[in-house]
Amino acid sequence: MVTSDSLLPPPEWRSFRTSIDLPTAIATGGTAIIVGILVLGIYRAMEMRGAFVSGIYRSRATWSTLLMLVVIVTMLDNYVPFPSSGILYLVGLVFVNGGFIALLFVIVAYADRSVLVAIETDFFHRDTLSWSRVRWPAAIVFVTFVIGLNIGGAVLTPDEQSSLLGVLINDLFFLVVAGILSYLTAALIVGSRRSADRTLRRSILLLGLALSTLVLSIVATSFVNPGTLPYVIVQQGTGIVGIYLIYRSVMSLSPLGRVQKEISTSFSHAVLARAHT
Amino acid sequence: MVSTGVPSLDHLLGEDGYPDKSSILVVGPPGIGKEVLGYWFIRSGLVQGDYCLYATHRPVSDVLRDMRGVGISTDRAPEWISSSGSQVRCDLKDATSISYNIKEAVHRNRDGRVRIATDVLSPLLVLNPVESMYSYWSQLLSDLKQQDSVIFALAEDGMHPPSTLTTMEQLFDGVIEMRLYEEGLAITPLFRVKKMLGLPPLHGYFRFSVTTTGMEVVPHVH
Repeated sequence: MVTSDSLLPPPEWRSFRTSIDLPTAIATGGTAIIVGILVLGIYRAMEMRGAFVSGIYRSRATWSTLLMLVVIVTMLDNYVPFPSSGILYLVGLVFVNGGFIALLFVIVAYADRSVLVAIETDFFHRDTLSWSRVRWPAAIVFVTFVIGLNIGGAVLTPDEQSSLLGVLINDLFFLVVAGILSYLTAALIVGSRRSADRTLRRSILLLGLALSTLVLSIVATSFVNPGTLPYVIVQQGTGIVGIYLIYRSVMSLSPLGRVQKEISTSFSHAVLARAHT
Repeated sequence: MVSTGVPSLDHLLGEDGYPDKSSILVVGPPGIGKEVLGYWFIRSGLVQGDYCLYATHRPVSDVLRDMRGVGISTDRAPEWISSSGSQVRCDLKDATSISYNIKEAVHRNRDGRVRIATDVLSPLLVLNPVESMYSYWSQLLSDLKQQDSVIFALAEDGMHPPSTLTTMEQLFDGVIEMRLYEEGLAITPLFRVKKMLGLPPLHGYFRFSVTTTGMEVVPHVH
């Protein structure tokens, strides 16, 4: 049967098959989810910071806010177009590398503070995994590697970076970072179990678990090629889980109640009626 | 009536504050500011010339630092029963001695009004069975009522099963609950007066804020 439709050629745009770039779609979707969780987390962490009177809790809310803020900046700097030469290129280089360095430092500093808080709130003040002795050597190694690698990245040419030595140094860097983060994760999990404060115990444990997803992400993604589907799935999956655990860590700083609306509403009417009279 | 040390809370509780010869329990999660209510209660007593006792599981220096942190002058200090920095030591493993020392201090000052603030309830509940703590506090509060005294105790929410806290709440004449509440995306610190001797039930929530100039309590209009 001949219809008027079949006589007409299909519109040109309908003859093209658009291929969906799955890794890019997953990466974009994952980033959107993570940014959403982070924005909500930052807002609520700041609200909680304002509500707390105790220094320990205010400090934890502040650190969480800072951590989530730095994660957002680090994630979104990929979307800021910087030119490939000139002064703006250098600004972009500092912005991108600075964001990454800041992220590593904030993660390590916050985790370090959390281990110390766990030791402080332990009835017996046990030195979890000898952290008070390990922390300074670990900090020196960490700072040296992070700064050294970033200077190397800025000074060396792409060819030099992709040489065998460059690759080895790069791998060594990730090995050191993953090693220190793994140790910190273990200290957080063990320390959280020893804290006498149940609220802090939960919050520190969740932070430890969040850090473990970061370690998992570093280790797992080193075995797959960047840009491939497995790489994106591991990276985004661990990212979403890790950020959600940080969000839960903030929210677990205090058990939240729900206002019983019927009580609140009747009370509001009574207060307003009294104000009118 | 005994002033709470917070004028807006006095007003809420019928102009004058906590009832005479009463026991008040403040329940809330850690970090919310329960201690601040205790500090103002003690500070108000010191200004009015009442005998004030602070029984704490913390060192005196920590409590004084906290007091100064919320703008409370420490030019006058209460008598202490504490883990360190006081003549009378607070040993959480020896609940009987804590009770004895509190009663003894109250008895020594039986001619005037006595105010006691304490944060030992929660640690003692953690270290001892609920049944024995129920009779312990029941006996202590009953003995204190024989004198002109008001005791103000703190309990950590989240450290005990809800049934334990409910059981302890029964022993006290007044119960104030402080906590963070979720309203949509916002998080608000509110408190409720769950019960107060001599007052009809106070329905509704009150917003509170702690600053270096004092504590403010206002009705929370939904």
